[in-house]
Amino acid sequence: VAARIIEDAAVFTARRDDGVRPVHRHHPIGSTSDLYRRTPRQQQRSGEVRMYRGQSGQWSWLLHRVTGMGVLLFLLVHIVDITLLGFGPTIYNDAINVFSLWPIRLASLALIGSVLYHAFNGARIILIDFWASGYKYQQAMFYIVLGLTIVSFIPMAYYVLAPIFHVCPQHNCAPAIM
Amino acid sequence: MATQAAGERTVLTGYGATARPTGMGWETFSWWFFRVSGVALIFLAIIHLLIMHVTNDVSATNYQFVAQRYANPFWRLYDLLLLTLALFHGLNGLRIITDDYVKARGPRLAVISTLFITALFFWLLGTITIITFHPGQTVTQALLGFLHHL
Repeated sequence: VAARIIEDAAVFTARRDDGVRPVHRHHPIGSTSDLYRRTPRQQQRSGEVRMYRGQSGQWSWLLHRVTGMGVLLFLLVHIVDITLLGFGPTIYNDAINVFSLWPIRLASLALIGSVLYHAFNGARIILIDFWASGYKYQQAMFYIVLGLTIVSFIPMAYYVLAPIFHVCPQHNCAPAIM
Repeated sequence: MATQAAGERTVLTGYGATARPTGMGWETFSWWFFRVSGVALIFLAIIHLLIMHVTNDVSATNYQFVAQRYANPFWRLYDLLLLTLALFHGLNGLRIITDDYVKARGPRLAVISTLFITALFFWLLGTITIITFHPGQTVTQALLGFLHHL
């Protein structure tokens, strides 16, 4: 009984930060706000059980949200800077020169890392949804996602940062920054 | 419905072959849109990053670069698809996050309406730029020309 109370307490505190939104047996998606009003015990009884219990899955979920919001924020900024194309080459070129500055190059690493993680973890979520035994390997897949993110991030980071040190692996850096 | 051993107890997870939504409503459409647009975006976004940061340096992606690129309608379509899917995938994600944190009916309606208007505004901004871009012509000239044709 004590173990169940502790578990329910853990589930309750994790409720808002749940790995995946609560899944109802009869109505898997929708009416979330109603589901959230139910107590953990009620959810347990009706077969709504969360997949993550504050372990790696919780981190994968949190990272997915944070990276998603970061990429969306950049996307809105990016739409605005692309809109400057409509005001001629002087204004546009002047504005996008900002992206060549070293602090912005560093910031763009966060964007690249976020896109890579969100893409690979998105594939993991789809595998959990569509592959019948995907949920059994969610943790292993999370480590694969992290590995792929790091492995693909490092060479891209080199290409983004090298021009700061006057090395141009792309061979087409603007003369002004070299 | 799959079962999974969690600790000493066996629990229903709801994950596995039957976890997909079954209705035909808005939330089901949203669920599928996330996954279908997500698969497309994995390729669209990563290829876009590789072109803009690896095969070219950002400092080379100036007005002349865009002019050369947009001479080919393929890249306009590519960017239009990337813009549309990424924007609606992202703002729909923000709607899901709102669902988790904003419970009261009024504020919820306000936030979600704002998200919808933001999506529409930025989509129009991006789409007008991608479609009307023509080297040596401003967006105002393009839009005036379009109105003149009507």
